[in-house]
Amino acid sequence: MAPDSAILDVQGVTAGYGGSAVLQDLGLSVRSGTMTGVIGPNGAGKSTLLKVIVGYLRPSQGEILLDGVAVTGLPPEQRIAKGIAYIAQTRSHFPSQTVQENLRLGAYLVKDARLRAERQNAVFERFPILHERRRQLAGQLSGGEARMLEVGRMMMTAPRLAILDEPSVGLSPKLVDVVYGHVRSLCDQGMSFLIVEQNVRKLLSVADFIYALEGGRNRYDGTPHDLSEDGRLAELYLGARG
Amino acid sequence: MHGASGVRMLLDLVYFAALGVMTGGLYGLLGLGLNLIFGVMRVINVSHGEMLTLGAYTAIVMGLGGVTSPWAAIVAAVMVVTLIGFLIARYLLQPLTVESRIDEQRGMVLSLGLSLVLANLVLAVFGPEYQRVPGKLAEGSIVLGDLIIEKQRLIILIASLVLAAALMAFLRFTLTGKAIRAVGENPEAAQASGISVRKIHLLTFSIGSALAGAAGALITPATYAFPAMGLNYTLYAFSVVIIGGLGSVWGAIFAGFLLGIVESLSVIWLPSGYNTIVGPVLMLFTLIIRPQGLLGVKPGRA
Repeated sequence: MAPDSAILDVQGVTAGYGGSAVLQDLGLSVRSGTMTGVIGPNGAGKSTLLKVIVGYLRPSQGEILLDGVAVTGLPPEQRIAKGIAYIAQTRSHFPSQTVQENLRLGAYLVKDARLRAERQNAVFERFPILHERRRQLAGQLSGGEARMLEVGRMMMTAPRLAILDEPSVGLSPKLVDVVYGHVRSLCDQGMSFLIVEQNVRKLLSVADFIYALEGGRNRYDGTPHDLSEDGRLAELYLGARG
Repeated sequence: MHGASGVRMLLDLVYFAALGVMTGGLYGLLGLGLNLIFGVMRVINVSHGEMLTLGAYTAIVMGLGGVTSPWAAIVAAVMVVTLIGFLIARYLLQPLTVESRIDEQRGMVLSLGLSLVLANLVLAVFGPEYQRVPGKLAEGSIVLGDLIIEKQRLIILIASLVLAAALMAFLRFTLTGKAIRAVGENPEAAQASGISVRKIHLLTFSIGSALAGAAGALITPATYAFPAMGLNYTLYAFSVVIIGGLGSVWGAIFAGFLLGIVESLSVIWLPSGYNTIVGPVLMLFTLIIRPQGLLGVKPGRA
Protein backbone atom coordinates (compact mmCIF):
# COMPACT_ATOMS: atom_id res chain seq x y z
CA MET A 1 0.00 0.00 0.00
CA ALA A 2 1.34 3.42 -0.92
CA PRO A 3 2.20 5.46 2.19
CA ASP A 4 -0.09 8.31 1.17
CA SER A 5 -3.13 6.18 0.32
CA ALA A 6 -6.34 6.81 2.23
CA ILE A 7 -7.20 4.27 4.92
CA LEU A 8 -10.62 5.89 5.40
CA ASP A 9 -12.84 7.62 2.90
CA VAL A 10 -16.16 9.21 3.82
CA GLN A 11 -18.03 10.07 0.65
CA GLY A 12 -21.08 12.31 0.44
CA VAL A 13 -22.57 11.18 3.75
CA THR A 14 -25.95 12.45 4.84
CA ALA A 15 -27.11 11.15 8.21
CA GLY A 16 -29.19 12.10 11.23
CA TYR A 17 -31.78 11.01 13.75
CA GLY A 18 -35.43 10.48 12.98
CA GLY A 19 -35.54 12.24 9.62
CA SER A 20 -33.61 15.40 10.48
CA ALA A 21 -30.18 15.43 8.85
CA VAL A 22 -27.26 16.28 11.12
CA LEU A 23 -24.68 15.62 8.42
CA GLN A 24 -25.19 16.81 4.87
CA ASP A 25 -23.15 15.55 1.93
CA LEU A 26 -20.06 15.32 4.08
CA GLY A 27 -16.74 14.12 2.73
CA LEU A 28 -13.50 13.33 4.52
CA SER A 29 -10.50 11.09 4.21
CA VAL A 30 -7.72 9.92 6.49
CA ARG A 31 -4.36 9.15 4.95
CA SER A 32 -2.56 6.10 6.18
CA GLY A 33 -0.24 6.83 9.10
CA THR A 34 -1.48 10.34 9.74
CA MET A 35 -3.39 12.07 12.49
CA THR A 36 -6.46 13.81 11.13
CA GLY A 37 -8.48 16.15 13.28
CA VAL A 38 -12.08 17.29 13.04
CA ILE A 39 -13.16 20.56 14.64
CA GLY A 40 -16.35 22.56 14.66
CA PRO A 41 -18.78 24.24 17.02
CA ASN A 42 -21.27 22.28 19.14
CA GLY A 43 -23.91 20.72 16.93
CA ALA A 44 -21.70 20.74 13.86
CA GLY A 45 -22.12 16.96 13.67
CA LYS A 46 -18.69 15.84 14.85
CA SER A 47 -19.85 13.01 17.11
CA THR A 48 -22.50 11.98 14.60
CA LEU A 49 -19.79 11.71 11.95
CA LEU A 50 -17.81 9.34 14.17
CA LYS A 51 -20.92 7.25 14.90
CA VAL A 52 -21.50 6.85 11.18
CA ILE A 53 -17.89 5.82 10.60
CA VAL A 54 -17.87 3.28 13.45
CA GLY A 55 -21.28 1.95 12.38
CA TYR A 56 -23.58 2.89 15.27
CA LEU A 57 -25.59 5.00 12.86
CA ARG A 58 -26.49 4.22 9.25
CA PRO A 59 -26.20 7.12 6.82
CA SER A 60 -29.21 7.78 4.61
CA GLN A 61 -26.84 8.59 1.76
CA GLY A 62 -23.16 8.17 0.99
CA GLU A 63 -20.49 5.57 1.57
CA ILE A 64 -17.83 4.76 4.15
CA LEU A 65 -14.77 3.12 2.60
CA LEU A 66 -12.06 1.37 4.53
CA ASP A 67 -8.97 0.76 2.39
CA GLY A 68 -11.15 1.52 -0.61
CA VAL A 69 -13.77 -1.10 0.28
CA ALA A 70 -17.27 -0.01 1.30
CA VAL A 71 -18.19 -0.97 4.90
CA THR A 72 -21.34 1.16 5.01
CA GLY A 73 -23.67 -1.77 5.69
CA LEU A 74 -21.55 -3.54 8.30
CA PRO A 75 -22.32 -3.53 12.05
CA PRO A 76 -19.66 -2.01 14.35
CA GLU A 77 -18.11 -5.31 15.48
CA GLN A 78 -17.32 -6.23 11.88
CA ARG A 79 -15.65 -2.88 11.30
CA ILE A 80 -13.60 -3.44 14.45
CA ALA A 81 -12.55 -6.77 12.94
CA LYS A 82 -11.39 -4.89 9.85
CA GLY A 83 -9.04 -2.69 11.86
CA ILE A 84 -11.07 0.24 13.19
CA ALA A 85 -11.00 1.16 16.88
CA TYR A 86 -13.17 3.66 18.71
CA ILE A 87 -13.01 5.48 22.01
CA ALA A 88 -16.15 7.36 22.99
CA GLN A 89 -16.17 10.71 24.74
CA THR A 90 -16.89 9.41 28.22
CA ARG A 91 -16.67 6.04 29.94
CA SER A 92 -15.60 3.93 26.99
CA HIS A 93 -14.80 1.02 29.30
CA PHE A 94 -16.50 -1.39 31.74
CA PRO A 95 -16.39 0.03 35.28
CA SER A 96 -17.53 -3.12 37.11
CA GLN A 97 -14.81 -5.31 35.59
CA THR A 98 -11.13 -5.25 36.40
CA VAL A 99 -8.47 -3.48 34.36
CA GLN A 100 -7.24 -6.82 33.10
CA GLU A 101 -10.76 -7.97 32.20
CA ASN A 102 -11.27 -4.73 30.29
CA LEU A 103 -8.15 -5.43 28.26
CA ARG A 104 -9.27 -9.02 27.69
CA LEU A 105 -12.63 -7.79 26.40
CA GLY A 106 -10.79 -5.35 24.16
CA ALA A 107 -9.14 -8.40 22.58
CA TYR A 108 -12.50 -10.17 22.22
CA LEU A 109 -11.83 -10.82 18.53
CA VAL A 110 -8.20 -11.87 19.01
CA LYS A 111 -8.24 -15.67 19.19
CA ASP A 112 -4.47 -16.12 19.41
CA ALA A 113 -3.51 -16.23 23.10
CA ARG A 114 0.15 -15.43 22.41
CA LEU A 115 -0.81 -12.35 20.42
CA ARG A 116 -3.07 -11.26 23.27
CA ALA A 117 -0.26 -11.67 25.80
CA GLU A 118 2.13 -9.70 23.59
CA ARG A 119 -0.30 -6.84 23.20
CA GLN A 120 -1.16 -6.79 26.87
CA ASN A 121 2.56 -6.54 27.65
CA ALA A 122 2.83 -3.63 25.23
CA VAL A 123 -0.07 -1.92 27.00
CA PHE A 124 1.49 -2.47 30.45
CA GLU A 125 4.87 -1.24 29.17
CA ARG A 126 3.30 1.93 27.89
CA PHE A 127 1.08 2.40 30.94
CA PRO A 128 2.81 0.93 34.02
CA ILE A 129 0.00 2.27 36.22
CA LEU A 130 -2.43 -0.11 34.50
CA HIS A 131 -0.15 -3.01 35.36
CA GLU A 132 -0.11 -1.89 38.98
CA ARG A 133 -3.90 -1.67 39.02
CA ARG A 134 -4.63 -4.65 36.80
CA ARG A 135 -6.73 -6.39 39.46
CA GLN A 136 -8.69 -3.30 40.42
CA LEU A 137 -12.11 -2.49 39.06
CA ALA A 138 -11.95 -0.01 36.20
CA GLY A 139 -14.58 2.05 38.03
CA GLN A 140 -11.99 2.85 40.71
CA LEU A 141 -9.54 4.46 38.27
CA SER A 142 -9.07 8.22 38.05
CA GLY A 143 -10.17 10.06 34.91
CA GLY A 144 -6.68 10.02 33.44
CA GLU A 145 -6.11 6.35 34.26
CA ALA A 146 -9.47 5.44 32.74
CA ARG A 147 -8.46 7.24 29.55
CA MET A 148 -5.21 5.27 29.49
CA LEU A 149 -7.18 2.05 30.00
CA GLU A 150 -9.32 2.98 27.01
CA VAL A 151 -6.24 3.57 24.88
CA GLY A 152 -4.93 0.23 26.15
CA ARG A 153 -8.24 -1.48 25.38
CA MET A 154 -7.96 -0.09 21.87
CA MET A 155 -4.34 -1.29 21.48
CA MET A 156 -5.48 -4.88 22.12
CA THR A 157 -6.92 -5.14 18.61
CA ALA A 158 -3.83 -3.48 17.06
CA PRO A 159 -6.10 -1.26 14.97
CA ARG A 160 -4.93 0.48 11.83
CA LEU A 161 -7.35 3.36 12.28
CA ALA A 162 -8.18 4.70 15.73
CA ILE A 163 -11.18 7.00 16.10
CA LEU A 164 -11.24 9.17 19.21
CA ASP A 165 -14.13 11.36 20.34
CA GLU A 166 -12.74 14.23 22.42
CA PRO A 167 -9.94 12.45 24.24
CA SER A 168 -9.20 15.60 26.25
CA VAL A 169 -12.63 15.79 27.87
CA GLY A 170 -12.47 16.01 31.66
CA LEU A 171 -8.68 15.88 31.84
CA SER A 172 -6.25 18.43 33.26
CA PRO A 173 -4.01 20.22 30.72
CA LYS A 174 -1.09 18.14 31.91
CA LEU A 175 -2.96 14.87 31.36
CA VAL A 176 -4.17 16.09 27.97
CA ASP A 177 -0.49 16.45 27.00
CA VAL A 178 0.25 12.95 28.31
CA VAL A 179 -2.63 11.40 26.37
CA TYR A 180 -1.72 13.19 23.16
CA GLY A 181 1.90 12.20 23.66
CA HIS A 182 0.82 8.55 23.57
CA VAL A 183 -1.44 9.17 20.58
CA ARG A 184 1.43 10.83 18.71
CA SER A 185 3.82 7.99 19.45
CA LEU A 186 1.26 5.36 18.39
CA CYS A 187 0.74 7.36 15.22
CA ASP A 188 4.49 7.42 14.60
CA GLN A 189 4.42 3.62 14.91
CA GLY A 190 1.98 3.52 12.00
CA MET A 191 -1.47 3.75 13.58
CA SER A 192 -3.73 6.23 11.78
CA PHE A 193 -5.95 8.53 13.83
CA LEU A 194 -9.16 10.41 13.32
CA ILE A 195 -9.82 12.69 16.27
CA VAL A 196 -12.73 14.96 17.11
CA GLU A 197 -11.82 17.63 19.63
CA GLN A 198 -13.20 20.72 21.38
CA ASN A 199 -9.70 21.60 22.48
CA VAL A 200 -8.89 23.12 19.09
CA ARG A 201 -5.50 24.55 20.03
CA LYS A 202 -4.25 21.21 21.27
CA LEU A 203 -5.49 19.40 18.19
CA LEU A 204 -3.96 21.96 15.81
CA SER A 205 -0.63 21.52 17.55
CA VAL A 206 -0.49 17.75 17.01
CA ALA A 207 -2.61 16.87 13.96
CA ASP A 208 -1.28 16.50 10.41
CA PHE A 209 -4.51 17.50 8.73
CA ILE A 210 -7.66 19.29 9.82
CA TYR A 211 -11.28 19.26 8.75
CA ALA A 212 -13.55 21.98 10.01
CA LEU A 213 -17.30 21.36 10.03
CA GLU A 214 -20.15 23.78 10.31
CA GLY A 215 -23.83 22.84 10.39
CA GLY A 216 -23.06 19.29 9.32
CA ARG A 217 -21.17 20.33 6.18
CA ASN A 218 -17.53 20.65 5.23
CA ARG A 219 -16.29 24.14 5.91
CA TYR A 220 -12.56 23.80 5.52
CA ASP A 221 -9.84 21.23 5.08
CA GLY A 222 -6.11 21.72 5.11
CA THR A 223 -3.10 21.71 7.35
CA PRO A 224 -3.32 23.16 10.86
CA HIS A 225 -0.80 25.79 9.76
CA ASP A 226 -2.98 27.02 6.90
CA LEU A 227 -6.00 27.18 9.14
CA SER A 228 -4.16 29.26 11.73
CA GLU A 229 -2.95 31.58 8.97
CA ASP A 230 -6.44 32.16 7.58
CA GLY A 231 -7.67 35.15 9.60
CA ARG A 232 -11.38 34.51 9.29
CA LEU A 233 -11.19 30.79 10.06
CA ALA A 234 -8.75 31.29 12.90
CA GLU A 235 -11.16 33.76 14.42
CA LEU A 236 -14.11 31.44 13.93
CA TYR A 237 -12.51 28.32 15.40
CA LEU A 238 -9.88 29.76 17.69
CA GLY A 239 -11.11 33.25 18.47
CA ALA A 240 -13.66 32.40 21.12
CA ARG A 241 -11.01 30.58 23.10
CA GLY A 242 -8.68 33.59 22.99
CA MET B 1 -48.55 -23.57 80.54
CA HIS B 2 -47.52 -20.15 79.33
CA GLY B 3 -43.96 -21.27 78.59
CA ALA B 4 -45.14 -24.27 76.61
CA SER B 5 -47.28 -22.16 74.28
CA GLY B 6 -44.34 -19.80 73.77
CA VAL B 7 -42.18 -22.70 72.69
CA ARG B 8 -45.01 -23.94 70.48
CA MET B 9 -45.16 -20.54 68.80
CA LEU B 10 -41.42 -20.44 68.25
CA LEU B 11 -41.44 -23.92 66.74
CA ASP B 12 -44.22 -22.87 64.38
CA LEU B 13 -42.15 -19.88 63.27
CA VAL B 14 -39.13 -22.06 62.61
CA TYR B 15 -41.29 -24.60 60.82
CA PHE B 16 -42.89 -22.08 58.48
CA ALA B 17 -39.62 -20.23 57.92
CA ALA B 18 -38.01 -23.53 56.85
CA LEU B 19 -40.85 -24.11 54.38
CA GLY B 20 -40.32 -20.57 53.11
CA VAL B 21 -36.67 -21.27 52.47
CA MET B 22 -37.74 -24.23 50.30
CA THR B 23 -39.70 -21.97 47.93
CA GLY B 24 -37.38 -18.96 48.31
CA GLY B 25 -34.59 -20.50 46.25
CA LEU B 26 -36.94 -20.87 43.32
CA TYR B 27 -38.10 -17.26 43.59
CA GLY B 28 -34.48 -16.15 43.65
CA LEU B 29 -33.73 -18.15 40.51
CA LEU B 30 -36.69 -16.56 38.70
CA GLY B 31 -35.65 -13.10 39.81
CA LEU B 32 -32.12 -13.77 38.64
CA GLY B 33 -33.29 -14.59 35.11
CA LEU B 34 -35.53 -11.53 34.98
CA ASN B 35 -32.68 -9.39 36.33
CA LEU B 36 -30.24 -10.74 33.75
CA ILE B 37 -32.58 -10.00 30.85
CA PHE B 38 -33.32 -6.52 32.16
CA GLY B 39 -29.71 -5.73 33.04
CA VAL B 40 -28.35 -6.70 29.63
CA MET B 41 -31.21 -5.98 27.25
CA ARG B 42 -33.22 -3.34 29.18
CA VAL B 43 -36.34 -5.39 28.49
CA ILE B 44 -38.83 -5.68 31.33
CA ASN B 45 -39.87 -9.20 30.44
CA VAL B 46 -43.46 -9.57 31.60
CA SER B 47 -43.59 -12.99 29.91
CA HIS B 48 -40.90 -14.43 32.22
CA GLY B 49 -43.49 -16.48 34.13
CA GLU B 50 -44.81 -17.92 30.87
CA MET B 51 -41.36 -19.35 30.17
CA LEU B 52 -41.84 -21.26 33.42
CA THR B 53 -45.30 -22.35 32.24
CA LEU B 54 -43.83 -23.62 28.98
CA GLY B 55 -41.17 -25.53 30.91
CA ALA B 56 -43.85 -27.10 33.12
CA TYR B 57 -45.95 -28.16 30.15
CA THR B 58 -42.93 -29.54 28.32
CA ALA B 59 -42.46 -31.79 31.33
CA ILE B 60 -46.14 -32.76 31.21
CA VAL B 61 -45.92 -33.60 27.51
CA MET B 62 -42.91 -35.77 28.27
CA GLY B 63 -44.94 -37.50 30.98
CA LEU B 64 -47.85 -38.08 28.58
CA GLY B 65 -45.31 -39.48 26.12
CA GLY B 66 -44.27 -42.07 28.68
CA VAL B 67 -41.10 -40.47 30.03
CA THR B 68 -41.41 -40.86 33.77
CA SER B 69 -38.02 -39.49 34.83
CA PRO B 70 -38.48 -35.90 35.99
CA TRP B 71 -34.80 -35.29 35.28
CA ALA B 72 -35.24 -36.13 31.58
CA ALA B 73 -38.26 -33.80 31.61
CA ILE B 74 -36.10 -30.99 33.01
CA VAL B 75 -33.50 -31.46 30.29
CA ALA B 76 -36.23 -31.44 27.64
CA ALA B 77 -37.81 -28.33 29.17
CA VAL B 78 -34.50 -26.49 29.12
CA MET B 79 -33.98 -27.35 25.46
CA VAL B 80 -37.51 -26.43 24.38
CA VAL B 81 -37.67 -23.17 26.33
CA THR B 82 -34.17 -22.15 25.22
CA LEU B 83 -35.34 -22.52 21.64
CA ILE B 84 -38.55 -20.59 22.29
CA GLY B 85 -36.58 -17.84 24.06
CA PHE B 86 -34.18 -17.66 21.15
CA LEU B 87 -37.02 -17.35 18.62
CA ILE B 88 -38.71 -14.61 20.68
CA ALA B 89 -35.46 -12.66 20.93
CA ARG B 90 -34.60 -13.14 17.29
CA TYR B 91 -37.93 -12.48 15.64
CA LEU B 92 -39.82 -10.28 18.11
CA LEU B 93 -37.28 -8.32 20.17
CA GLN B 94 -34.47 -7.88 17.65
CA PRO B 95 -36.64 -5.83 15.27
CA LEU B 96 -37.17 -3.33 18.13
CA THR B 97 -33.44 -2.65 18.38
CA VAL B 98 -32.29 0.85 17.51
CA GLU B 99 -28.61 1.76 17.75
CA SER B 100 -27.76 -1.38 19.75
CA ARG B 101 -30.49 -0.79 22.33
CA ILE B 102 -33.93 -2.37 22.44
CA ASP B 103 -36.68 0.20 22.81
CA GLU B 104 -37.67 -0.25 26.49
CA GLN B 105 -41.35 0.58 26.28
CA ARG B 106 -41.96 -1.43 23.14
CA GLY B 107 -40.05 -4.36 24.60
CA MET B 108 -42.22 -4.34 27.69
CA VAL B 109 -45.50 -4.00 25.79
CA LEU B 110 -44.42 -6.78 23.48
CA SER B 111 -43.62 -9.11 26.36
CA LEU B 112 -46.94 -8.24 28.02
CA GLY B 113 -48.80 -9.23 24.86
CA LEU B 114 -46.64 -12.30 24.55
CA SER B 115 -47.51 -13.43 28.07
CA LEU B 116 -51.24 -13.28 27.27
CA VAL B 117 -50.78 -15.09 23.96
CA LEU B 118 -48.63 -17.85 25.45
CA ALA B 119 -50.90 -18.45 28.46
CA ASN B 120 -53.93 -18.70 26.15
CA LEU B 121 -52.08 -20.95 23.72
CA VAL B 122 -51.35 -23.33 26.57
CA LEU B 123 -55.02 -23.10 27.59
CA ALA B 124 -56.16 -23.88 24.04
CA VAL B 125 -53.85 -26.87 23.67
CA PHE B 126 -53.96 -28.42 27.14
CA GLY B 127 -57.25 -27.19 28.57
CA PRO B 128 -57.84 -25.53 31.94
CA GLU B 129 -57.28 -28.65 34.10
CA TYR B 130 -54.62 -28.81 36.77
CA GLN B 131 -51.97 -31.28 35.64
CA ARG B 132 -48.91 -32.85 37.09
CA VAL B 133 -46.10 -35.07 35.87
CA PRO B 134 -46.26 -38.72 36.94
CA GLY B 135 -42.78 -39.12 38.45
CA LYS B 136 -41.27 -37.66 41.58
CA LEU B 137 -37.87 -36.09 42.09
CA ALA B 138 -37.49 -38.15 45.28
CA GLU B 139 -39.69 -40.21 47.55
CA GLY B 140 -40.28 -39.62 51.20
CA SER B 141 -39.72 -36.82 53.64
CA ILE B 142 -37.24 -35.63 56.16
CA VAL B 143 -38.77 -35.51 59.61
CA LEU B 144 -37.32 -33.30 62.33
CA GLY B 145 -39.82 -33.40 65.16
CA ASP B 146 -42.90 -31.57 63.87
CA LEU B 147 -40.99 -30.32 60.87
CA ILE B 148 -41.73 -32.49 57.86
CA ILE B 149 -40.00 -31.55 54.64
CA GLU B 150 -40.71 -33.46 51.47
CA LYS B 151 -37.43 -34.57 49.95
CA GLN B 152 -38.45 -33.24 46.58
CA ARG B 153 -38.92 -29.74 48.00
CA LEU B 154 -35.36 -29.94 49.21
CA ILE B 155 -34.23 -31.05 45.76
CA ILE B 156 -36.05 -28.11 44.15
CA LEU B 157 -34.22 -25.79 46.53
CA ILE B 158 -30.83 -27.35 45.84
CA ALA B 159 -31.37 -27.45 42.08
CA SER B 160 -32.44 -23.79 42.09
CA LEU B 161 -29.32 -22.80 43.98
CA VAL B 162 -27.09 -24.91 41.73
CA LEU B 163 -28.58 -23.26 38.62
CA ALA B 164 -28.18 -19.81 40.17
CA ALA B 165 -24.57 -20.55 41.11
CA ALA B 166 -23.84 -21.91 37.64
CA LEU B 167 -25.21 -18.73 36.08
CA MET B 168 -23.16 -16.53 38.38
CA ALA B 169 -19.98 -18.50 37.71
CA PHE B 170 -20.65 -18.33 33.97
CA LEU B 171 -21.08 -14.54 34.08
CA ARG B 172 -18.08 -14.06 36.35
CA PHE B 173 -15.44 -16.36 34.91
CA THR B 174 -16.05 -17.06 31.22
CA LEU B 175 -15.21 -14.67 28.39
CA THR B 176 -18.76 -14.96 27.04
CA GLY B 177 -20.11 -14.21 30.52
CA LYS B 178 -17.89 -11.15 30.78
CA ALA B 179 -19.06 -10.05 27.33
CA ILE B 180 -22.68 -10.37 28.51
CA ARG B 181 -21.92 -8.13 31.50
CA ALA B 182 -20.01 -5.74 29.24
CA VAL B 183 -23.04 -5.34 26.96
CA GLY B 184 -25.21 -4.68 30.02
CA GLU B 185 -22.83 -2.04 31.30
CA ASN B 186 -21.89 -0.26 28.11
CA PRO B 187 -23.23 -1.52 24.79
CA GLU B 188 -21.28 1.03 22.73
CA ALA B 189 -17.95 0.15 24.33
CA ALA B 190 -18.82 -3.54 23.97
CA GLN B 191 -19.30 -3.07 20.25
CA ALA B 192 -16.10 -1.06 20.07
CA SER B 193 -14.42 -4.13 21.56
CA GLY B 194 -15.75 -6.26 18.74
CA ILE B 195 -18.60 -7.85 20.72
CA SER B 196 -21.79 -8.39 18.75
CA VAL B 197 -24.56 -6.88 20.86
CA ARG B 198 -27.08 -8.70 18.66
CA LYS B 199 -25.63 -12.12 19.46
CA ILE B 200 -25.25 -11.33 23.16
CA HIS B 201 -28.90 -10.26 23.31
CA LEU B 202 -30.01 -13.55 21.72
CA LEU B 203 -27.84 -15.53 24.11
CA THR B 204 -28.99 -13.59 27.18
CA PHE B 205 -32.68 -13.98 26.46
CA SER B 206 -32.20 -17.67 25.71
CA ILE B 207 -30.35 -18.24 28.99
CA GLY B 208 -32.85 -16.25 31.05
CA SER B 209 -35.73 -18.14 29.48
CA ALA B 210 -33.98 -21.49 29.91
CA LEU B 211 -33.62 -20.89 33.65
CA ALA B 212 -37.33 -20.14 33.97
CA GLY B 213 -38.12 -23.21 31.86
CA ALA B 214 -35.95 -25.37 34.10
CA ALA B 215 -37.80 -23.98 37.11
CA GLY B 216 -41.13 -24.93 35.52
CA ALA B 217 -40.11 -28.53 34.94
CA LEU B 218 -38.54 -28.66 38.38
CA ILE B 219 -41.72 -27.77 40.27
CA THR B 220 -44.32 -29.81 38.35
CA PRO B 221 -43.59 -33.03 40.21
CA ALA B 222 -44.38 -31.12 43.43
CA THR B 223 -47.11 -28.69 42.38
CA TYR B 224 -49.82 -28.65 39.75
CA ALA B 225 -49.41 -26.88 36.45
CA PHE B 226 -52.20 -24.82 34.91
CA PRO B 227 -52.23 -22.39 31.97
CA ALA B 228 -52.30 -19.17 34.04
CA MET B 229 -49.62 -20.27 36.52
CA GLY B 230 -47.05 -17.99 34.87
CA LEU B 231 -48.62 -14.75 36.08
CA ASN B 232 -48.03 -15.60 39.75
CA TYR B 233 -44.41 -16.42 39.07
CA THR B 234 -43.92 -13.25 37.03
CA LEU B 235 -45.18 -11.36 40.09
CA TYR B 236 -42.76 -13.26 42.33
CA ALA B 237 -39.89 -12.55 39.94
CA PHE B 238 -40.74 -8.85 39.80
CA SER B 239 -41.07 -8.67 43.58
CA VAL B 240 -37.67 -10.34 43.98
CA VAL B 241 -36.01 -7.94 41.55
CA ILE B 242 -37.54 -4.83 43.13
CA ILE B 243 -36.89 -5.97 46.71
CA GLY B 244 -33.36 -7.16 46.03
CA GLY B 245 -32.42 -4.28 43.78
CA LEU B 246 -32.44 -3.98 40.02
CA GLY B 247 -29.30 -5.52 38.60
CA SER B 248 -28.12 -6.99 41.90
CA VAL B 249 -27.37 -10.71 41.68
CA TRP B 250 -27.03 -11.27 45.41
CA GLY B 251 -30.02 -9.02 45.97
CA ALA B 252 -32.14 -11.41 43.91
CA ILE B 253 -31.01 -14.46 45.90
CA PHE B 254 -31.48 -12.70 49.22
CA ALA B 255 -34.88 -11.28 48.24
CA GLY B 256 -35.96 -14.70 46.99
CA PHE B 257 -35.41 -16.22 50.43
CA LEU B 258 -36.89 -13.22 52.21
CA LEU B 259 -40.03 -13.40 50.07
CA GLY B 260 -40.30 -17.16 50.52
CA ILE B 261 -39.98 -16.91 54.31
CA VAL B 262 -42.34 -13.94 54.77
CA GLU B 263 -44.90 -15.55 52.48
CA SER B 264 -44.72 -18.78 54.42
CA LEU B 265 -44.97 -17.04 57.81
CA SER B 266 -47.95 -15.01 56.61
CA VAL B 267 -49.98 -18.21 56.68
CA ILE B 268 -49.92 -17.96 60.47
CA TRP B 269 -51.69 -14.59 60.52
CA LEU B 270 -53.40 -14.19 57.17
CA PRO B 271 -56.43 -16.15 55.95
CA SER B 272 -55.39 -18.79 53.42
CA GLY B 273 -55.32 -17.60 49.85
CA TYR B 274 -53.95 -14.21 50.83
CA ASN B 275 -50.32 -15.31 50.64
CA THR B 276 -50.03 -14.14 47.01
CA ILE B 277 -50.33 -10.51 48.10
CA VAL B 278 -47.23 -10.79 50.28
CA GLY B 279 -44.83 -10.28 47.37
CA PRO B 280 -46.49 -7.14 46.00
CA VAL B 281 -46.88 -5.69 49.52
CA LEU B 282 -43.19 -6.29 50.33
CA MET B 283 -42.37 -4.76 46.97
CA LEU B 284 -44.40 -1.64 47.76
CA PHE B 285 -42.75 -1.27 51.17
CA THR B 286 -39.34 -1.58 49.57
CA LEU B 287 -40.19 1.07 46.99
CA ILE B 288 -41.27 3.45 49.75
CA ILE B 289 -38.41 2.82 52.17
CA ARG B 290 -35.52 1.95 49.87
CA PRO B 291 -36.43 2.51 46.20
CA GLN B 292 -33.16 1.13 44.85
CA GLY B 293 -33.81 -2.22 46.56
CA LEU B 294 -32.14 -3.77 49.59
CA LEU B 295 -28.83 -4.49 47.84
CA GLY B 296 -29.31 -2.20 44.87
CA VAL B 297 -27.18 0.75 43.86
CA LYS B 298 -28.73 4.19 43.87
CA PRO B 299 -29.62 5.36 40.37
CA GLY B 300 -27.48 8.08 38.89
CA ARG B 301 -24.21 6.35 39.59
CA ALA B 302 -24.98 3.39 37.38
